[in-house]
Amino acid sequence: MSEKEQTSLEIAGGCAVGFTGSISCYNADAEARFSKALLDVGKWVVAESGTLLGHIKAAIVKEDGSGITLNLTDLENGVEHHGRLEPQEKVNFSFMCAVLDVDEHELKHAMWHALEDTGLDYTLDEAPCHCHDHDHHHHHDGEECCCHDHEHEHHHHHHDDDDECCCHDHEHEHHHHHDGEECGCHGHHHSHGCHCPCCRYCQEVDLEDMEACDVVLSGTLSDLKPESYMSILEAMDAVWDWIWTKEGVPECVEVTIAPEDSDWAIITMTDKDFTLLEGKFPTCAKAAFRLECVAVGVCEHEIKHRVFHALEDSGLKSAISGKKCCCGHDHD
Amino acid sequence: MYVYILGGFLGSGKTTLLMKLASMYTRRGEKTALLVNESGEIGVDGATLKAEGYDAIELPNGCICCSLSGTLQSALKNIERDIDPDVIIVEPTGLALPHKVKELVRVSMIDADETFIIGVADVQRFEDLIKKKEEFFTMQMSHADFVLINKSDLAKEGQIEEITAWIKDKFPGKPIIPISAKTEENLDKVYELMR
Repeated sequence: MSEKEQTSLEIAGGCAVGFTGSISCYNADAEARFSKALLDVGKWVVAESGTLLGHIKAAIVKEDGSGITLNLTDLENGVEHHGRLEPQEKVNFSFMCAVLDVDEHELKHAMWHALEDTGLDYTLDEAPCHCHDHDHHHHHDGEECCCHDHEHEHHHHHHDDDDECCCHDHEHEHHHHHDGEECGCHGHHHSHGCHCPCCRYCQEVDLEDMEACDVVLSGTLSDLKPESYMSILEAMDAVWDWIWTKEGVPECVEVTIAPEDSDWAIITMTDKDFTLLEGKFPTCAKAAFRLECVAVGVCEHEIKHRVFHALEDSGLKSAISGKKCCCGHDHD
Repeated sequence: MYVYILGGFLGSGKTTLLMKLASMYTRRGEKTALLVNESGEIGVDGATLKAEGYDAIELPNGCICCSLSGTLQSALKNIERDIDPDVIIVEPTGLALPHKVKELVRVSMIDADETFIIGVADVQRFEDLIKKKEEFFTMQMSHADFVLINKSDLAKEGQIEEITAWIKDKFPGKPIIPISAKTEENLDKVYELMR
């Protein structure tokens, strides 16, 4: 096949995506819940493309590969179940969808949310949250955001635990930050009367007069697994939160992971509730990493210190390059 | 050794038909190898077949008519060497072009007496498919040795006749059989057409 020749998938305008993972405490209820996930994806496909031209399938199997499969090709017919599977402590699953005329990333997103909404006790073999992959992720006016319902409560940007969240109720439902786009919302926010206790713009701090510091730490990460992705996000979150608590303004926290034998992945946090993953998160024994944090109004040394602790607290196996500092940590 | 390629769109019932054909050949006492392909990186059809008691070679994560063409050829060679079957049934993805698969079988240097394409059309979504992807569906059916109109058990009145007329108009002279792989309606007629 020449490089320029279209694949049949491209000719048809189709896409095929899937997940694998495992489910704990599998029983008939779990089967029914999984079946509903297929239906939910089917409904989403119909809503997106007008019709379900394709199929949504799942295989739920034991270690020896035996088990059941679920297949949805028509919403009216419902999900077909093949085989029988008795209750199991743990089963593996494959969940795939091949359909026409939908965006591949949005389809994956819809599948993930359908799975999440089942309430099943499951884990995915790949990095679980791909919301961060979606640079198109934003909330349209009047559209209910379901991202805040899932497990990534750490994205939420309220610092006072007792404070009830009013952000999603107020008038700025259209508030979203695109990658690389400067957010001007806070200016409007302030001029319309700020209610946010943590808003730096409301504290008469002339941030423009303050110098931004750019902190870079590098080193190696060992034993990277799919769940390490969440640990890195948590570390980035912890750094972001800490800067706020110090009354500084974080601008960007970026982690680049460079394994020896696979492509790099770059995780960029440009807002408390916006993180972008470029590339596929690698799973490998060892990878070089670089963490860069840009912030205003905080001490550079303290940020380094905090990054060190955030990495340490995340449970990641990391070694940071550089000489020891006054606190005894191996960072510049 | 005969090779059958099941060509048809996603969800047209190719896997169900594959299982019925495999059973039929087993009853005839013929050694049959099944090769299934899925375009997503996650394969499910292999598990479906296993759940129903069939064993199949699964080629996921690409299409055997394009990105996995080399993998298909290696798999065919291995099947011939390790299993030496009387029949190989290949189920490409529903987004594959069967004539390309047939060409790859031809150049794979296996000792196939003949290779056939069985076109599978789906009663239920025929209208939608023609509306949205007529050209693609036509390409899928164009080199079929015969066309099966599957899911006849779900057909509304006049639907089979309409689809038959469309296929006859596009491909005059091509044998057309309305079947239900699920209920086995008319499958005996299909078996008669097969070696």
